[in-house]
Amino acid sequence: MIEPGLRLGLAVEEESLVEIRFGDVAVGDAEHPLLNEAERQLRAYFEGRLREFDLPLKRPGTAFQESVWRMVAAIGYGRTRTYMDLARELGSPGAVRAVGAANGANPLPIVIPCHRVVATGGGMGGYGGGVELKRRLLALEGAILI
Amino acid sequence: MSRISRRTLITLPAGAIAARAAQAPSDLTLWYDKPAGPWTDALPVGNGRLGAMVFGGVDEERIQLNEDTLWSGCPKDWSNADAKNQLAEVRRLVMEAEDYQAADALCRKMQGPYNQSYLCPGNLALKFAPGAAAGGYRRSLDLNTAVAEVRYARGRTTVVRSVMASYPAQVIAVRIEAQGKERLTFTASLDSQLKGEAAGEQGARIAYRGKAPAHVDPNYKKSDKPVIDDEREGYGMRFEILVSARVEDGRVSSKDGVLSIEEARAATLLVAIRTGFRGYDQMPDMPARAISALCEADIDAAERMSWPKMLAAHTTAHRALFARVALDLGPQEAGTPTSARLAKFAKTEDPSLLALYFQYGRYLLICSSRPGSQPANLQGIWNEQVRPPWSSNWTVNINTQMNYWPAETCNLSECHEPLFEMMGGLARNGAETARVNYGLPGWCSHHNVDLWRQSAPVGEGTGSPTWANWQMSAPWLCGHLWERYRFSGDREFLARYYAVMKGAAEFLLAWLVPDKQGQLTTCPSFSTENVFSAPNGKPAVTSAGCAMDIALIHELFGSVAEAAGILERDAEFAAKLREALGRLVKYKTGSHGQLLEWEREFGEPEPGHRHMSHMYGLYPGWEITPRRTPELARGCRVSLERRLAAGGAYTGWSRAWAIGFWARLLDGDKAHESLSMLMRHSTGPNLFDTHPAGKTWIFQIDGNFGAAAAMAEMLMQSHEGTIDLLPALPKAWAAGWVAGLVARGGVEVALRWRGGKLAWASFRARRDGGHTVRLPSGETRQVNLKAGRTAELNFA
Repeated sequence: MIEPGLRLGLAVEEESLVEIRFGDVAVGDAEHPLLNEAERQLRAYFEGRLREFDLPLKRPGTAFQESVWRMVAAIGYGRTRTYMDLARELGSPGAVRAVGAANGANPLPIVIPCHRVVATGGGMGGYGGGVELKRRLLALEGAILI
Repeated sequence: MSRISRRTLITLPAGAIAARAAQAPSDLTLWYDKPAGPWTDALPVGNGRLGAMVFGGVDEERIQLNEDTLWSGCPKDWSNADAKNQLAEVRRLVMEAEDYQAADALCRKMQGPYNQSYLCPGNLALKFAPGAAAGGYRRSLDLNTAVAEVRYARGRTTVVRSVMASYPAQVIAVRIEAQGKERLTFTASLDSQLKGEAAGEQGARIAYRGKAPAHVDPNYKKSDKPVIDDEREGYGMRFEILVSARVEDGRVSSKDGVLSIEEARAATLLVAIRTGFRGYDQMPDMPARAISALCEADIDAAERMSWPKMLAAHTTAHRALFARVALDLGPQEAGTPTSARLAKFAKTEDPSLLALYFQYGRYLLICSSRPGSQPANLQGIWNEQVRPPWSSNWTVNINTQMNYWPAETCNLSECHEPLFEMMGGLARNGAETARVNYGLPGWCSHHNVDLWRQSAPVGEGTGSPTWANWQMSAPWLCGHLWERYRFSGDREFLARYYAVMKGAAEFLLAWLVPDKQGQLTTCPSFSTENVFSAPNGKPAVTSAGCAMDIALIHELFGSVAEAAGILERDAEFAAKLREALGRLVKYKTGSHGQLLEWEREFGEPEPGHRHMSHMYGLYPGWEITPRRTPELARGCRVSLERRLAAGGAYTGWSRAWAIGFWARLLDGDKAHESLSMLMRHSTGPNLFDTHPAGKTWIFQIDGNFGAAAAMAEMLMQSHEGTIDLLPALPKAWAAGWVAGLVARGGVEVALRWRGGKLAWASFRARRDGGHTVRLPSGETRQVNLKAGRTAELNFA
């Protein structure tokens, strides 16, 4: 069984990374120092050599999304939190679904580690790159066993 | 409107991510449910230069410390100018009179003093205030993060101690946290077997300042005064251990060399160690003040980092090397302590324990040999004694070389560098030995090396010449230079070390003598540490043209001639080497079809001898292969079978060598059988390789490295110019995964197999080029690779 290579599309606007997209997206092959740096850091991450990204990011979103992404960005390498956890911390335990939606709308997956947010009962929850990839990323970080 | 730049990034193939992910941290953890008893139970951490053994006692913790330049002695003259006066007579006795015992006696006159000893600076002792009985005890070492941890519960409070030897920070750091209501109250102090004194320092610091002995006799030498201290500066180096403490929510004070920590929620201890070593050829007379300043600089810099930052920097630096290779031989029993898994191994196959053992070998190399450090010695860098076994030196008649067998194949090329650095100094001293002892050009070295790069024979006139007088370590070490070039293709590296390789060849070219048939041979010649029965029925060791000499000279002369061509120099010298190769004595086989160890079929008083040097050409050499030289390979197989049937491979390193031989003979099941025996008979509870010593055993690290290298040879080989996939896969490893092994030519290889069959392979090249891949069926495929790009072959 051979898994296809994981492809990511990166976009830089002016001096900030604005988007990471999963899948085979025909988005060009631009030269930009920040693209080079982002690629270097991502490769190092996938090789297990990098734990914290250091990249200028821009992530326009609603105030609610922004507060969710800020919490997600603070989850350390190899750690996980649940959607419920984040909702409680926001002071609205009823907002679990809204938290899930905001997490899912994260424009900068991997760098903003939305894969570290999992379901409360021990399930994986969803992931833009597919649950299998989420599982692998968490295993790469040592958060789970596969 | 702002401009948006986009790029599609193809990451690693998903397979490679999976390979890394498959070996989750829990598969890479050694753990125990009780504290270490003897030293050989403790868990090692290291950053190449600094090492520590963590015992994990609950009330009293002992962290035994090492620094890799702390040795006894200083540079001195080991030459024996009288040696060359014996040479002609030794040769006559062997080659004409065939009086081997007389030659042995004369060889003893060519010997000199023993080498110095690797030392232990001391211990950091932590004493905790007595409390309720501890529960939930766990002591572990995570190979993935290079952190040793001790964890236990006191009532509702969990105490967690973490110990690491940080490469970026160049300190050993100990973090102790009380997670719960209880607070930490403990003392920290230093002790040492070496002369010196403990002192309290300003602020929350303590120090131990000592001076190493001017001389230490090896542990095997009977001596009335084995340890000699000398007050004079430089006759024995000064050293210092400096410890600082920081606490969170508590108090810390320093008095009379004892740090007292009270009522803290957490404490971080930082340990710096520095010595007065200035270089192998310099008197180690750095004053105590200067050494203190170095320690203070280490601690001051490290104190500026928070614990999480220091931990992250440490782990990142470690994983930059460690995470390059993954090996998965099946799921493991996560709930069983490592020592219990090892004990069970005798009855039940546990391939995942072998995968852990493989990664432990890689871990130990990272911890004991990093750029800028000394090479890994007989015990890596971990030693608690003043007179450790064999002085914990560099024994270069196999042991040191074996330490580096996994360096290239297991993707730790940087860790190989300290060995090359050592060779630079050894070649300089060895040129003096060649000139003074033998009156010959070039350089040579013998079987023992110390911090001062002793290159001359040891033995003091009473050692057996089979180890003391063996003068063939230079070509063996040079094999590592050539291999580094074969793996990396780094022409600059080859140019840098060409003079070292050429110097070794110059010596041997002058060392060769014609035998009665006019062939060139070596004399005196020894098959490392082994003894034969001479025609008069008595044991002897000195002869001519041992098989190992032939193998080493073939490799060295061949590689120097090739290197000269690559570097476009020394055409005339290269021609001389090729001419000499044509006249060199040949390998012979004996009455059982075995490869002969000596030039003729002598009796073998020790048919199960641990050294198997005559098969060097099979492994780690590359001259003898079942495909290229089938008769010699058959001869090796017979030799190996006879050796093992007579009780051979009874030391860990010898067993590790046997695994490598079987892998090169393409017999996976026999390789696995030897690997199993290594686990059963030559592996300690902390997975250290062992060496029998009377009724007990001692630690010797070479087998850890030799076995890791041999496992890589079972999965992939590249010494014949092709990349051979799963050449010696045992039936016991029905399914598995490996990623990150390196083939000559600089190709990273990942493999997956199922039902004993290769299912998938991927190749990532460091340079552009075409490679021939040999499949387990013997069929070959051509793959053309672009630097940094990955190609896959799918067989499912």
